[in-house]
Amino acid sequence: MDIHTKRKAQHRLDRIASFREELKDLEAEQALALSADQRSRLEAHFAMLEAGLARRFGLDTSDSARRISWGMRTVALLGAAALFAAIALFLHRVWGLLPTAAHVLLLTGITLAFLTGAEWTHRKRADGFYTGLLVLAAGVAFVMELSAMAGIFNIAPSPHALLLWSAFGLLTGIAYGIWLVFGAGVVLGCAYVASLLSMVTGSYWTSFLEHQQYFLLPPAITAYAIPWIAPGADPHGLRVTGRLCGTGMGLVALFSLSVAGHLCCAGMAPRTIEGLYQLVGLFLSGAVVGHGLKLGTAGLVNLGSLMFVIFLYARLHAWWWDWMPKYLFFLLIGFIALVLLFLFRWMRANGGERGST
Amino acid sequence: MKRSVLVSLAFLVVLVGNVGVLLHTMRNRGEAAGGTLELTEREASLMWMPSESTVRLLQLRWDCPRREGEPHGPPAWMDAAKLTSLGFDCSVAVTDPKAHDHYGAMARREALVVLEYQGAAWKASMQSNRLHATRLFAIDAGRELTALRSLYPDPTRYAIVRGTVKPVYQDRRWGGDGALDTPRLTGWIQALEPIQVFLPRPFLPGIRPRNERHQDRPEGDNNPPRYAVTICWGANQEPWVIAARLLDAGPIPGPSVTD
Repeated sequence: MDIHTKRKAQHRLDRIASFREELKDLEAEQALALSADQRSRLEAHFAMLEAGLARRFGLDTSDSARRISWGMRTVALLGAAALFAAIALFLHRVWGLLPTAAHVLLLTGITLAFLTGAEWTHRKRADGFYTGLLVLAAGVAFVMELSAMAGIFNIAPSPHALLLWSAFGLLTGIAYGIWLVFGAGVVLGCAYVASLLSMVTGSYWTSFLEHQQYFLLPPAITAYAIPWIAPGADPHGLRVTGRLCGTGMGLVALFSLSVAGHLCCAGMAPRTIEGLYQLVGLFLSGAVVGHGLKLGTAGLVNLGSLMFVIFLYARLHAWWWDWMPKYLFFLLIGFIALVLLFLFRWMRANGGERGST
Repeated sequence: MKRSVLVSLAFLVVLVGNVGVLLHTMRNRGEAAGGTLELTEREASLMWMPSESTVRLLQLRWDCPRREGEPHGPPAWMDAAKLTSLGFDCSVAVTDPKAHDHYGAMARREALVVLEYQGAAWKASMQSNRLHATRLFAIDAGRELTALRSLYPDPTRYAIVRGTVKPVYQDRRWGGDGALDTPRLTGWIQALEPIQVFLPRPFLPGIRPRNERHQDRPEGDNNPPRYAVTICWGANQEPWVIAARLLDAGPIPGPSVTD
């Protein structure tokens, strides 16, 4: 059995449950009839699979167990948020009474304690959700830790904190297979590279947020290329996460430039620049959808579709809003939405789905 | 790479970050290259915090000399020559049709800002007769610490701090009426970095912000400052508090407005 991740194990269990349901219906419709020997061997095989996967990955084998697990996770998430808030507010209360050495030790200790807790739960083979929660808490604590220390020592804002946060997110995301933390690491890494490019040109490091076409697009493109740069097995979907982060950053950067053309390319009129970026954004969004369909990556298809619609509406707004009666504008928007719906239906019928990733 | 190696590296990243912050601070506090000023509550006011918080931060309040008739405009000394010295490309003439877009698209740059305390800029300002108005004025900017220090040698009256500057293409009077005869190229000091200074434990126990809800003092508040803090700016032009004292209820002795 080639199953190495909890997600794939749960997927296999879900397929077994679906197969049982379908078998029941097929027998009722007299389309299939298993002999007693076949049925007993099938049930024995399923029982062995379910017991093995449940034992190895701590999975839920019934709907009621699954619902209870979700309840536990919700309670754990709320409890963790409350605990985090309690710690932060308590520290705010006693902060001014503590010497500087205590500040440093507390801030460092909290981050390392969360990370140690994550490692401990992982080694105890606890539900991956709780390990992920502790890793996320450690990441947030690390961000707050460096920010608080910069505040204590009155350090001017620096982009190098982005590098440290990014490294932490990437390392822990890969170590524990947590896509959310890994994605945060990718985004922060791209922001760091963008800030360095900004500084190389002499601008203040936060200028990459205003001049994204120069500074944010190159690292976003690099993030999109992660699966090509580092190919291989991707059991936790981290390479796809990196690609999605690059897609999101790149398209959002293009969109912000498409509505604030005055921040780019002083040789051209701002409206011309905005129009060009909207058209480029439309084209690239469509290309992302096409690439996502080819790879069978649902996230790329959804993100590309969303940005395509946003770019389209921005372009139509620029063309029509000023002179067209408003009711007619929204009527046309609704009509275009219907056309897109029929287009997606046609693509689904003709292209088919390869299976989402 | 093995998972244990990755987790170990993550621990190392946390420790490196903390050690880096401490080393950076030690380097900054190794010498007071940016100057040392004793400021009062007017220039370094306590920031409002929620009632349960014991965190105390000082907010630097500063002003700059403005042009006649533009009390809220950019610094009067910020012109094309100054912006060029700060590294901005000011080659496009202000009368060029592309000038507005050219200068509007420029990103801000880091600069060193000279703060003068109770100097000529304050005396000449229209706020000099107001007891609560700040006496800390930004009077110049540059890129080299040694060059600025040679122009403003007294470190007890001039602090050199970090800030960011952005050019502004101005074709109308700021906050006033009418267009300018000739457009002008000027600039804003967008921010001083950092603008807040942490007040550590030994200093000014029991002193709370005067305004419980607002950082800025209301107009017409002529209460004299209650305290003075001595702030150093170090090798990285980052500040820290080295001393603090309570003041008498009366006005601060110092040069009068007519001096």
